[in-house]
Amino acid sequence: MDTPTSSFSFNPSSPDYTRDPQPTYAWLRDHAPVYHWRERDTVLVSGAKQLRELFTDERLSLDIRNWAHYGGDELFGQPRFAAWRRVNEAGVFFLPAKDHARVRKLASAGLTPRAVKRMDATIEATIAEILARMSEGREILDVAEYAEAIPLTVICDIVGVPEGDRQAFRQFGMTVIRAVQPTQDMELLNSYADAYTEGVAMLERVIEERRAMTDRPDDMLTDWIEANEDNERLSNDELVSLTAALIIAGSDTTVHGTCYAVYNLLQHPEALAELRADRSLLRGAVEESLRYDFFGKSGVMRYALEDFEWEGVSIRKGQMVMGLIGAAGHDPQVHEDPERFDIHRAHHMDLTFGLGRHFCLGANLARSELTHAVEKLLLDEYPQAELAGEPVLDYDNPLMRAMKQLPVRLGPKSEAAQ
Amino acid sequence: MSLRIEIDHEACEANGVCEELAPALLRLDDQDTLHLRVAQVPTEHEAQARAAVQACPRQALRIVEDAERPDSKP
Repeated sequence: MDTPTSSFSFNPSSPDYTRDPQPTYAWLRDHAPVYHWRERDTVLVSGAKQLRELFTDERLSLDIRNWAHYGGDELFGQPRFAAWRRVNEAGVFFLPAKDHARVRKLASAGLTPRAVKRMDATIEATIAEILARMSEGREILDVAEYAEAIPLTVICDIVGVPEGDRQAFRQFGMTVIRAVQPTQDMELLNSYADAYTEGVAMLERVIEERRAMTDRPDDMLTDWIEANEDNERLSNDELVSLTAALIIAGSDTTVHGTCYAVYNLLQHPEALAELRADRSLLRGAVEESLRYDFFGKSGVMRYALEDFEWEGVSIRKGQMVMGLIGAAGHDPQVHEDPERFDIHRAHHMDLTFGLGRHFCLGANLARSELTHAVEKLLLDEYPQAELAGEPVLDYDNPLMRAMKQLPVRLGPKSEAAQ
Repeated sequence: MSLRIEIDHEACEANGVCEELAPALLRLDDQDTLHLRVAQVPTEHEAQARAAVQACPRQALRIVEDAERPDSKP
């Protein structure tokens, strides 16, 4: 929408923005790294320095109940929504600071790089199995479909969901993912509430069964159940909420991260050739794809706890503040020549997984999944894979620059894999 | 002036970024506990120390500057 003073408009649902949001981000960074988006009365944060501030400023909360336009109280007051509400209230996104710190301390022990390394072989085998099943007899693989199958299956494995409950767990997972998108549709909301009720009951049973085992498997759920610091433990509600958080924060993100990593590497054959010669570059390549072509569309939300001035913008209590991770990733103040895809970059100053108190709890798990998803497909099994067409984008997804389809011509299997 | 690093063990989640950036100053043990290798940061490692503090994903480190002499400028 043009105005007499400026031709700039922020429209995250437009196809152009979905395809390539970087021109919009460049305008924002250059003109106002903290910008008041009048149309939605939301503050947009695009500079890397400012995004670091957003993540660490105590006046900005992640709890949506601080939003002036939050309408959930009435909804979650209904008995039908009790299970869903319990998951929210015991969860890492809603807990008050003191409980949050305790839950983080206990839960993070199961997700450190060292802890994830121990699950690495399981994650790799799961992904190999998914790829084998999906590529069997096919010339063209839809990488969107491959990526979609990975996180929920991996989460099932590391939570130790028994075979008989896996279908129900997947169903619950799909609901949890869908329920993240805001909607006014009461029928839909009721169906989510019912799915939460069933899903929570199932997870409570899985946790009880695990508690009762004398010889518990060496995985994340066992770590969480046994986690104990100064006699503090995780409650059943907290365990259920953590599992839900794994799904909410770790499914869609991993799916789209995988699609974009595969896409960007196939677009940069010279980088892919380097990876094939030296696999130690793989982790950097995955991080670079997350920086170069971030899959998120609308960013991370915070809600102001008080009025304050920030870079010339008046922030009001209850206002929504949106951090644009993809914009910060191309900030030339931090990233040299940001428009270049370079798998040799250092990524210590990236903000892909956030920073500070709410730094992504599952970052190391996500890295393992993304790395293996790329490695299995493009290095181990199909070293001659190439794009079989442009990705088909889902312009209706409000949160992600989601690929509905990413067709890849597999080519011959590697000799080592045969 | 002399510099030292302070670890907030409540916040540390053993991501190991600091150890990667400043191996001479910090060490993560096999129980995921972070240790300081030196009480004070040697001058030649000051840049490393600052990089590690800045990059910590949990912002669990900070630099403390101790005045060695009362008359020394900050």
